[in-house]
Amino acid sequence: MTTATDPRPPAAGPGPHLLRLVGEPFLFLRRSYGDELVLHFGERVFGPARRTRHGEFRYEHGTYRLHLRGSAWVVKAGGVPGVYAGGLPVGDGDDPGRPLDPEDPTPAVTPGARVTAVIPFGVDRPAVTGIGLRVELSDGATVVVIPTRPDEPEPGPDGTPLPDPADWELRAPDGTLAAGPGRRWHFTPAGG
Amino acid sequence: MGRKKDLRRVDAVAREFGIDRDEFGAYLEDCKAHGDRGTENDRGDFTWDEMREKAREFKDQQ
Repeated sequence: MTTATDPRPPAAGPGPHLLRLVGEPFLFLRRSYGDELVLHFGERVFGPARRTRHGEFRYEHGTYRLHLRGSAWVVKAGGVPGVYAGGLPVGDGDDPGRPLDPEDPTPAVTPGARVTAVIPFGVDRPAVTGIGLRVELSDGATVVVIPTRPDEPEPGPDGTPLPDPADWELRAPDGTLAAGPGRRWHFTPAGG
Repeated sequence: MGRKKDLRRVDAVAREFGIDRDEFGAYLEDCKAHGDRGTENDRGDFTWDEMREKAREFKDQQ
């Protein structure tokens, strides 16, 4: 499979907000509801304790979080050989790549590895126009996020169509950068 | 990769109840991991009503 990409970053793009992630250490990755992959960076934070029917729950997260939402992704491992993929064929033919297990004792991205580059790029292929993202880390790992085509519109319980999720989001202490759907992005300051 | 239908649903419910979407999504996965699963499908995902009930639980738990 080939992907047509525009090497030029989008005009007045999200670069300045993305630069905040450079230098931050990778903490861990998790799968959130809907099988969304979330990469956590920065300092480890625990949310308030919640008493649930199955015990205590505390939301553990990084001060920076990259949510891959419904986009396809590829993670090229740093410390150990391996390519992991979600929604994209890698290598030859239809090789789906290895599934990415957050509990893998040999993680794809080395905890503590620092982000060395965060590069947005235009994506323009049949049925998909958007902003992809490439994150490079000091252990040699690379994360690539590729927007996918929108699903069929789905009505909410009141019958109105539900908005499509962003293609990816970067949560930072000063706010959230959201890219897509489409070739657009916006930044919401924290508390806004 | 993430399933957009499910992401739209958790986004909508989080907005409706004024709760943090990220923490709520992690909470839903925590529920499923502890056997507290929904009836939407074999994955144990939650129907609209079940997810709303989870949101009420989430807000009441401090």
